[in-house]
Amino acid sequence: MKSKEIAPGAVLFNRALTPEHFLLALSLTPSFARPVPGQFVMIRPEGVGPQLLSRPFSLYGYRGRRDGSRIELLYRTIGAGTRQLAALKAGESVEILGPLGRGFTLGPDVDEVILLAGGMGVAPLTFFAERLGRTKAPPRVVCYFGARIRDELIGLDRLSPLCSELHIATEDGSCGERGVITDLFAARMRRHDPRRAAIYACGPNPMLQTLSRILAGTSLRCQVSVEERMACGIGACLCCATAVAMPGRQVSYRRVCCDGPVFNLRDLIWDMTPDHSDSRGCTSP
Amino acid sequence: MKPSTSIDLKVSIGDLVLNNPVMTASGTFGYGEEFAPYGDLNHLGAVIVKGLSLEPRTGNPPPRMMETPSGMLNAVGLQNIGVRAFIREKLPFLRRFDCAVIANIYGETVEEYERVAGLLSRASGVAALEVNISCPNVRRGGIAFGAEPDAAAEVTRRVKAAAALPVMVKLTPNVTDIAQIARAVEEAGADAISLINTLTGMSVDVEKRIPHLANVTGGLSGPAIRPVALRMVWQAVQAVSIPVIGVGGILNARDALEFLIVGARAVQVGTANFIRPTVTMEIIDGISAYLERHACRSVTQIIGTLKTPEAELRRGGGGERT
Ligand SMILES: Cc1cc2nc3c(=O)[nH]c(=O)nc-3n(C[C@H](O)[C@H](O)[C@H](O)COP(=O)(O)OP(=O)(O)OC[C@H]3O[C@@H](n4cnc5c(N)ncnc54)[C@H](O)[C@@H]3O)c2cc1C
Ligand SMILES: Cc1cc2nc3c(=O)[nH]c(=O)nc-3n(C[C@H](O)[C@H](O)[C@H](O)COP(=O)(O)O)c2cc1C
Ligand code: FES
Repeated sequence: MKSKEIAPGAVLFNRALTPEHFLLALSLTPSFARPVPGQFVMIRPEGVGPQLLSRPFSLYGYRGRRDGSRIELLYRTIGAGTRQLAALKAGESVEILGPLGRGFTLGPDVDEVILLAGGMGVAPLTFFAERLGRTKAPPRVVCYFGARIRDELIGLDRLSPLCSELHIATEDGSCGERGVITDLFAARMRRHDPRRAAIYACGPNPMLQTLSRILAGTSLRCQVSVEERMACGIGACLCCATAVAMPGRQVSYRRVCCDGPVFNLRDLIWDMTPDHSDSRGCTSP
Repeated sequence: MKPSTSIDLKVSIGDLVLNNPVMTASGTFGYGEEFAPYGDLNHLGAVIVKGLSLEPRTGNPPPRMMETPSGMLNAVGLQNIGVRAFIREKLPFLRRFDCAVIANIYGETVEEYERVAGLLSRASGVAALEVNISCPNVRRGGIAFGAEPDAAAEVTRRVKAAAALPVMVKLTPNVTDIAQIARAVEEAGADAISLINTLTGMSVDVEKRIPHLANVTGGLSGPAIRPVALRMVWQAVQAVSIPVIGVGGILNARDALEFLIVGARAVQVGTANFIRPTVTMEIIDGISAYLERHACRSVTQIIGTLKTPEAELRRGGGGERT
């Protein structure tokens, strides 16, 4: 009956890349299944800490061996939960649930993969690019990567060798083009052939919302990994709802943790929002 | 630790006999199937499913949750697939298990409660109903029934008349006098009461000056509410003679035992399921271990054994020594 479990994990290292950005490597038991890029884990330090609930993070790296696997997470500290993670030291234990959710899929007719990464959205997309590189006939990978400033282009070292083309934008112009990544993409969009290219995007919700506007008049395919705050991560609490369009202008909610986190961008609804900035909230009852 | 077979964990709630006193709280365990891969549902006392309404319900816009000190706020807005889809799509799976399946129901009108109760009574595989008269998330409905003794009694009476099943009424803590509401639903025919549902709360993103929840307010759950829940359960136990089920902030066996000792016949575990999907099994084992350590053969031996000075006096100074 029982087929899944909370995997105990041990911290291999938890390296500060900047004061706010960390690379966390964990060793897990072999029971941790091979993840699909775009899938995530729920993680919390073992024991009862001040933060009770696990936090969701996309898989950034994975290596499976017979005697155990190793995963990597790339994260930014923004609140109490991520700061609690940042305090973890090598050798300490964590509880991991995963791999969870539905990852990215690649159509058979796609031979150009366009990655659109905003900030920490780079994590699942890097993992995806790495996995694509190992396929028999790897597609061409064109990446657009944006961040606020140069120092927040986290993971650039690992990403760049995986891409045939890499376009960078920073809001202050300290690296690459000045501006937001969606503008840079919009300016170059016509170079991509909708019949053979597919977009994979991950980043803050305002970025995905802009992207959906940009793509509205095109036939470019686009899968996005969406973020919502989660409690359970396994489909039970309904806390992680995201709005999707239903026939007849109806709205329905899907669970990001198990119906996603990867969705077709065209299925998602954005413009009912008074700006909640991070997520597509709507205040109508 | 394995539960010792010599210890009897059975409890009865009216005509309903549970294998053990640990249930999963409504809204925190989905429809059971989400947790089945992590542990054997057969071990549970009961599974209480997400609140069901007559028609499917979309729920509130996101963001719907925020962790707060020792707890969490949620404003799911009672999203659910509707009672008919539950019976058709979810109940067959749950019927396969040994644990009791309790359907949590709510409505926006008394008639809706009645109809949901009627439909579930005719479905096979539902052991009892839990009537949510307390959810603070939906502007209409919920709160109005649970906050007034008359309205609470009215819903109880009508559901009881419509249902051929044991009826447990779940109370809201967002009231002035919990004992008064407890007595009102007892008089109206409830077979048991459960409490507490979430406490209405709020949290603000100071940088952006926006509420963390799109709904602005939400229901607080988790260990933060446990002392309040425990106090209310204790008051309810003294106010009524029907079984009382304790809910609120239970994370482990020790917490569950607090409720049993003040007189709860059983407990429900909610938010803790999100922290560890196997937590209910650990709590059951922990209760067994406690009983063994205190040389009790049955869990009923510790229910309502709180030693207050008053209780000691009534007992003629004796009390239970363990
Ligand atoms: C599927 C999925 C994958 C994710 N992958 C990654 C990843 O690879 N790397 C990474 O750094 N983060 C990732 N996140 C986001 C990460 O889960 C949150 O940053 C984290 O949960 C915040 O926890 P906290 O306790 O530090 O913040 P909290 O104390 O919960 O919140 C602090 C503040 O940040 C805001 N906030 C909370 N969550 C988010 C969010 N998701 N987006 C924007 N603002 C938020 C809150 O509104 C609040 O004001 C992912 C989220 C999801 C759902
Ligand atoms: C996400 C979530 C959803 C809930 N949904 C319901 C519900 O549908 N019906 C209900 O009666 N109670 C609901 N509750 C309340 C719980 O059943 C329980 O009464 C409350 O959370 C207190 O217990 P806890 O502290 O152990 O979580 C919900 C609670 C949470 C956290
Ligand atoms: S986080 Fe609980 S349903 Fe998605």
